[in-house]
Amino acid sequence: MGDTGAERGGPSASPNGDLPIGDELAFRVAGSPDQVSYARHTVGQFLAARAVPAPVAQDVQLIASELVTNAMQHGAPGPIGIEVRVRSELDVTLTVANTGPVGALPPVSAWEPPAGLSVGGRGLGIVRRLSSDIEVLGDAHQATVVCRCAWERTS
Amino acid sequence: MTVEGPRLDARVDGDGVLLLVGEIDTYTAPELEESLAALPDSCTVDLSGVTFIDSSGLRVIVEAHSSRREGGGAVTLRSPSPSVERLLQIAGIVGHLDVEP
Repeated sequence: MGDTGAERGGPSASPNGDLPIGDELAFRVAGSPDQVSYARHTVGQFLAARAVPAPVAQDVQLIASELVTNAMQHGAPGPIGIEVRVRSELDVTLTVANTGPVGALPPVSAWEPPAGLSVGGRGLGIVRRLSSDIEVLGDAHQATVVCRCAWERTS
Repeated sequence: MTVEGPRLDARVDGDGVLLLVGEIDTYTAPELEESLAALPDSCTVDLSGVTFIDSSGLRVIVEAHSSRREGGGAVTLRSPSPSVERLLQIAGIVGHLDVEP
C-alpha cells in the first residue's frame, strides 16, 4: 500500500469503547485505472477499523469505485481527492473531487441505470440507488460529489 | 506513489466453464472482455470467487451476453458471490441475465 493517506481524527476507539464520531479520512489517488482498487481498499480498511458493518462498507466501496472511475473517465487529467466521514457506524459520507468542469456531470435526477440489457453508463445510477443523499458541487474547474449513506437500524 | 492494481485470474475448467477469481473493475474489465471473447456462443461463467465487481465489469458481461443473444447464445452466470449479487440487484438487472446457483 502506498503512503498517500493523510488520516485525521486520531485513534479508532475512545477509551470507553464507544464508536468514534466524526472520524474522517482524506487521501488522493492518481487518475489512472489501477488506482481505483487502491481507493476502495483504503476506504474499506478505514470503515472496518471504525466498526462499520461489512454490508454497509461494501456499498460505500462500490460507490467509491463508481465515482473514482467516473472522475477518471470524464474529469480532466489529474489526481482525484477522496474523503470518508463516519458519523456513526450506519451513517457514512463519501466525497470524491476531481479537476474538470462540474458541468461534465449529468444532473443527479438523471442518474438512473439503463433499462434491461441496454448498454450504457450504469455507474452513476448505482451510486444514486445506494445513497440517501447526493450533493454535486463545483465550477468550471473542479467537480465534487458528496454522497451520504445512512441506513436505518433494523434490530 | 506506486500501488499495484487489482488482480483477476481467469481460467477455463474441464467443462468449459470460465472461473473468475479476484476483482473486476475498470482496470481488470479488459481482461474479462478478452476471456469472454474466447468462449463459445453459449457459455457459463463462475463468479463465486469474485470479491468485488462494479459497473465496469457488469458492462462487459452485459455486452457479451447481448451480442450472443442475437445468435441464440447466452452467457450464464453461475454461483454469484455476495458482491456480484448485490450489484445485479442494485443495477436492476436481475431477471435480464441468466443466473444459476
